[in-house]
Amino acid sequence: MTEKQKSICDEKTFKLIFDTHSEVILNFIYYKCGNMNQAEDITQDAFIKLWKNCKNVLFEKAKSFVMKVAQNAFFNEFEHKKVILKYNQKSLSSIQYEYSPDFLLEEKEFMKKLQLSISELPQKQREVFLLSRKDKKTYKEIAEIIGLTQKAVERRMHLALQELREKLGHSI
Amino acid sequence: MEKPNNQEDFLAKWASGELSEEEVTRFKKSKDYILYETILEGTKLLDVPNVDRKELFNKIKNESSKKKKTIAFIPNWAYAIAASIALFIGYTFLFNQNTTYQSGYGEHISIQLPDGSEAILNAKSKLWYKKNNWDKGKRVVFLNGEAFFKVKHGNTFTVKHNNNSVSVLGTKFNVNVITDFFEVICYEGKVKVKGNSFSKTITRGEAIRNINSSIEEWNQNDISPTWIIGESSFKNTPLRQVITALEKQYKVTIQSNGVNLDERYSGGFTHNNLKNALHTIFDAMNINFIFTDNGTIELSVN
Repeated sequence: MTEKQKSICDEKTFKLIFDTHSEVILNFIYYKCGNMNQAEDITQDAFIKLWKNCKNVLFEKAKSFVMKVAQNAFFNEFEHKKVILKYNQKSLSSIQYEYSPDFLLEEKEFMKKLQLSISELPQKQREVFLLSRKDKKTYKEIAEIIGLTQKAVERRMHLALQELREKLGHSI
Repeated sequence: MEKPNNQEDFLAKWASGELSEEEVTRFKKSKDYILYETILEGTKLLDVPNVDRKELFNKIKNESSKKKKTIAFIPNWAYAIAASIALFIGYTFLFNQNTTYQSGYGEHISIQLPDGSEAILNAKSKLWYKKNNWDKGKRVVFLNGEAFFKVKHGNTFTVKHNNNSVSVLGTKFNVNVITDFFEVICYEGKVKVKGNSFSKTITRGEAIRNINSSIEEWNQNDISPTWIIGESSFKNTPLRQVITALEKQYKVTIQSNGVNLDERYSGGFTHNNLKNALHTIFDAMNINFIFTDNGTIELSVN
């Protein structure tokens, strides 16, 4: 079966779409609002809407359909919290040996600063930065998700890194 | 601190490994390189909260099948029969051979009539019929509220409310009757609409209504009413009826406080988010609304 003939109304296909795209949608909304429960609700509703419209949405448009619905839902709800990612301390030492230069703060301090700096990034830069670094999306993929040109995404990424350097640089 | 490069996507290219070797070597010599590298490495150690996606999928499946049942007649009527039992939070009883269906606030009920015809009740509506009549071949139902009918071919099928009636042989149509308001939209075939002072036959795509004894007619292109899929829509409808529909859908009380309820509204509102629904309607009409402490919503003119 070619992809074109796949119907979203088929539960297997629907599950496939969910498995492929739900994580990045969840994370994307999370990067915007900083509230995973809210991101879950929004994602859930978006997929329900997709199911309801399964006859009218082509398989290859499914992803952008869900993205769009989720983003609209996000715009409608205005409860934004700080996006603070959890710091996984177990793998701490990986920095220490390879990268930690003398002038850096202790890792713990540094990580705290990093968390804060990410949370303080403008939302538009943060979502690009995290989609790229945490979700391993290419700039092209991010451009599709956000609905921007790849160039614009790269610019935001550049700015995000600069901003982070600025913030963390002061602490040295 | 000097900038590593003036190019506005330089760092992006570096992070994704798209720089040339030469560029990387040069960049490594710059003062900030280690800090940038540490930022990327540090970010790796940060966790995005985990979501149990299996559970989320199950939730979605449950929710969709619930919703699917209420609209089930579109893909498959067999589901809807099951749904009319499953979703039957209203009541049926046999009194004086009346069979009655009543939907609650925000509920839709699918009903199968004795001849196999179908009716879907919108929120807070009531439909009843005398089983006796049907056994004799007279297809008559009484309606207070709004319902979408899909009638099997056969004898005349009549929907009644006080002196208003709609008669058909076999077709699809929507009826909305409340005090001083009677509206019929025909989606298929031919429908005969009769009120106190008028009688008119309309066909597919045509609609007619009687508000306080004045008749209005218009055309529309939908193939079934949108309220069935979770959005009420209106065409040049008095605000009074729109507000009533909203109250029935959401179980809220709206106080109009001098807002002119005869003003007309064209548009819709969603059934799953009250705030959005209120904004959709009242922003368009230039009306303010506030939620009061006692649970009502008060309107005021902008």
